[in-house]
Amino acid sequence: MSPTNTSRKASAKAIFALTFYLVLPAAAIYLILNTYPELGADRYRTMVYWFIPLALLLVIVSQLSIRYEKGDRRRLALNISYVVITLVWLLAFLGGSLVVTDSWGEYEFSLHLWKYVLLIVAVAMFNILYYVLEWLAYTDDVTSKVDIDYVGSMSVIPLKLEE
Amino acid sequence: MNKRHLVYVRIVAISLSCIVAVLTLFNLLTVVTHGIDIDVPDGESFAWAVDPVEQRVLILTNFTVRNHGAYDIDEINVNARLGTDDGKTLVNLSIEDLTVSRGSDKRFDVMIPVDLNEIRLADWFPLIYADTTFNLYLDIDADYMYRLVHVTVDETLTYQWTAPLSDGAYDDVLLPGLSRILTLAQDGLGSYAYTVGNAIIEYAMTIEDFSILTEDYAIWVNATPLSVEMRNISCEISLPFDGQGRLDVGFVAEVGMPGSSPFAELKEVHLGYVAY
Repeated sequence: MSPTNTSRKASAKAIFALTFYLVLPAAAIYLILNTYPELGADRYRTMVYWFIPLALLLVIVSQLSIRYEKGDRRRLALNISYVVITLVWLLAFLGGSLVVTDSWGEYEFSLHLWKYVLLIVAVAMFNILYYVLEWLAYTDDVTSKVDIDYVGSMSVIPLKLEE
Repeated sequence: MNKRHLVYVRIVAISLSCIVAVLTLFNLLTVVTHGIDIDVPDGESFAWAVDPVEQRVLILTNFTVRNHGAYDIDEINVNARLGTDDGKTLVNLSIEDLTVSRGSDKRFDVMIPVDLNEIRLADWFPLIYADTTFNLYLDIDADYMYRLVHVTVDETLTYQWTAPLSDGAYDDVLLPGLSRILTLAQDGLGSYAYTVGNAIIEYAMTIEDFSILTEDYAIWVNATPLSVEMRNISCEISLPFDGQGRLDVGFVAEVGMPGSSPFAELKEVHLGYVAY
């Protein structure tokens, strides 16, 4: 099946991914490091090292997913990949751990985020459920269209008439 | 499920994703910008007072929680243990279920009563004559962001203690020795204490009378024989306390070497406070 006509335009989903997974976090980290130079820059450099490639991957996957119509298996696979990459992006943003250790001057404190991450995983699962339901709801449309395309392509085959 | 229902599912999914995104953004900004901060007490933040009526010492201090984050801090639990550098616990403190609303600073005044009639004298007595280091083992936990994030602080803070009677030659032998008698009387004679106790009790057996009187403090020791092997040691110490009064500490103990084994038995202990 060929890509849809919208494939050449940047999709709203791709713009959302670009804004929320790349531009805003990068701007926030830039502002934080400039506003609070006493904070250790190494940790944020490590975050940037991981989340920028993942954010770019999210933009690419979201843009690719709209090349295929709802009900297409490739769209489903790309959408599920998008959700999974989002979870990996979040883990990178949290520093690769469910416990974040920071300090107030000489005192250290720890943030235990497992409940919070559990909520995010639940939302991610809900999104995957939606994509599966979408695929199930539209898969008949795609099958019908393939049949029509197939019949249409058959109709343009020139018939060789016997003289 | 038809396509119309699918639209509703999509709306819910997008809404939940937006909520999570907003939570993440505000949570991140709060943490990294130090929107939440706790001022724990330093050595100068502790004050002492004596309640002469109730016969207790009041340890006064405070800590402040600044919550400039986007969410309330709930269920702040503070567990603190003040101990000496040799591991003895002097005070335990437990505070539970404090709340600091978002956008506010809250100061918590803490008053720790220490009942002079219930304290373990052997642990507190050396503080009269020996400088030491206090360790405050601080364990704080709290919930943040609708209890989705749990915050813990586990720190050990150290404070220097300068004893009221820390500058005299008498503290080299006499007071530690008498303190050891108290310790032995309360703990019994262990294998290590046997060696030390033996020397201390032999020393105590040679004391007749002893006194130091200055403008600030006074120490009296009197020993009377009970038998050939046993003596009665009576000790009174009076020293200024908290700038407003005088603390009197005294004890009576029977010490000796019956059957060549050291023996110490605390017969009486008293503490008192007299306001100037």
